Amino acid sequence: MSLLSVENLTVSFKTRKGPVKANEGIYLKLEQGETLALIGETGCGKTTFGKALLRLLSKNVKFEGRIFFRGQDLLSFPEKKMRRLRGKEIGIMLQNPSLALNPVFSIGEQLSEIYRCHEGCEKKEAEKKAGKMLELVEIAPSRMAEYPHQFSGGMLQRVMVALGLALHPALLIADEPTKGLDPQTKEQIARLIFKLVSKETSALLLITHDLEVAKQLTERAAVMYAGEIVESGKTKELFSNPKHPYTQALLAALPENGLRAVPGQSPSFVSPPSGCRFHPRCAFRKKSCSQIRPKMLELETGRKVRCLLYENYENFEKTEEKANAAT
Amino acid sequence: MWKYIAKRLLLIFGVLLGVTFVTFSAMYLAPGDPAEVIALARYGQDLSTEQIEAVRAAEGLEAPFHVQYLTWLHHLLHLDFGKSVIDSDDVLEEILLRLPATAELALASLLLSLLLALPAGVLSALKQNTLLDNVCVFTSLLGVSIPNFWLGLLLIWLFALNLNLLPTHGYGTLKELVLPTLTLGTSMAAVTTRLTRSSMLGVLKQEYIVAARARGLDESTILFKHALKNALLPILTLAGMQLGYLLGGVVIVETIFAWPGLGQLLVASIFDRDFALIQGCVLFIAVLFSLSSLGVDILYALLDPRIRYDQQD
Repeated sequence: MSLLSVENLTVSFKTRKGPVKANEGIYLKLEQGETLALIGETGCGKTTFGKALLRLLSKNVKFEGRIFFRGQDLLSFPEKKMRRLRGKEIGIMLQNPSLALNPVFSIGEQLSEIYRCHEGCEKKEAEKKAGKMLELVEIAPSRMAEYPHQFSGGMLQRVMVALGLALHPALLIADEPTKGLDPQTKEQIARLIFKLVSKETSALLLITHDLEVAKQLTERAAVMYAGEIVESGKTKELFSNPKHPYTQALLAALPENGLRAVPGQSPSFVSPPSGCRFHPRCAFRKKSCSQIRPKMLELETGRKVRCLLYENYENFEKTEEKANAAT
Repeated sequence: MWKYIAKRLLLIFGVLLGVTFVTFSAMYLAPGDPAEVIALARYGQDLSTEQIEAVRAAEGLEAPFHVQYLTWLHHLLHLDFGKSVIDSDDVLEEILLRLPATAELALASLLLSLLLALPAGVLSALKQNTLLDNVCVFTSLLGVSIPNFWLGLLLIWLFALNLNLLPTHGYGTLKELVLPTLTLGTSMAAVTTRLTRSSMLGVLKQEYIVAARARGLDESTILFKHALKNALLPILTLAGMQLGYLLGGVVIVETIFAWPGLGQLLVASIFDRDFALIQGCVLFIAVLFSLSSLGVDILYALLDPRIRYDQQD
């Protein structure tokens, strides 16, 4: 049994302009202690996916599909049961720590209240645990009484790590943990997350647009485009031998590969492009690309791509089934 | 923190100095001869020019503007607000005599307003777009729209005349406090409810609320600790201003209920052209207003660490 198994998940929001599908048909598996990067450009639906796993989205959300965690479908959980799971089984570091931390409570308070709430700790004991957690993320416990605005960006990110891992969850979702940091600090934070996650043997779902960090931290990676996963595989292979034209374009946009930006703009979620969602920006598009929705194809074990270039028209239905079964 | 308060006090001193200058100039420039007013009060209707001039000389009213102003300031520094030109009562004593009634009404109304508005506003925000919310929004809109004097009269008509439960006016017992408090408290509650609702709605959309939920905190901790403390900040500002306004005396309500407060005193002194009393009242009200806003600033700093530390740096 996988730790996390997302099956055909579609997340849509009811809006005045009609339903907006922020995630569509997502299959994803994560084993105990495994690390996976979810890569994609800003606004592709990565954050929505991360929040969807903990059911943290706004009230107008609609879920289809299943999210299995240790074999139990999270979407069928009543809110109370879900609440006990949050933080305890699945921890999440939301992006932008300066917004995700309450400005009027001290760091120590925000950390120790987790222990009071989940474990029923007394005040002193909770503070002791909070202090230990801060030490773990290399912040002096003497800074417990300080408030978020007194910390630098890198330190705030450490606080987020401490909050996310406070209850030793089996899965940590880290949403853009290195966003807006200078290269050195980025490196430090990435190392810290890697160290702690391995120590706790937690699984890691890293949501990022930073390919460097993804390469550094994860064994497997999935690339998201316009709410769909377009390619997945081992991180190394995916980076050394990208299959999907979008992944190729993303890698070509890296500074060391020539800084060639992906042409065009991210598509609208209200009226996504017909056929393959990437076709308006794709350098290899064929006529059929605007008409046929490509299915997820398994090229080899654990290596999947959603692109017509690789599709075998005669039996793609079967391939799809096989691919999904093996996710 | 002490540095912050000291800074604030210094600022208040500056504001009060400005207030003294403006009130004094206004009284000086206002049409009418103060000497004549005083002489009228002292010697009755038939005045001779000599009498008026004698008063002018005796009261130092012939001195140039700046001399008169500085003399007044000098007296103020010794807590001497002067004497009423009408009945020669000490101005400060007169004011302090009225203060308890005003303070009692002000605190009672503010308390009632907050007791009504905070729960209503929070509930309204939590149950946004439900029947309960709509009822709250509608009632508070009604409360904002109804003028005070009309509400006061309506309450008198209902509780005093028809139901015979409460006295129509007067001051002294708790019974007499009820109607003026209801009049002021409910209309202020209307404004505060609307602010509480919108402030709470704004806070509930913040990412730190999602983050608190993501840590599996229970809903009451999220709402009453994480959300409310942030939502209270603008409400505190409003409540402080309301308190300042109430302490300045609420003329219309005091008049309707024959409530012997500062507002009545000020209005009476204006009708009598009792300039010493007017200046004293205005200055005193400015002091009360400044102090209540100082109180808000201090509370604000206690609630919001960002302010506390920014000021210290």
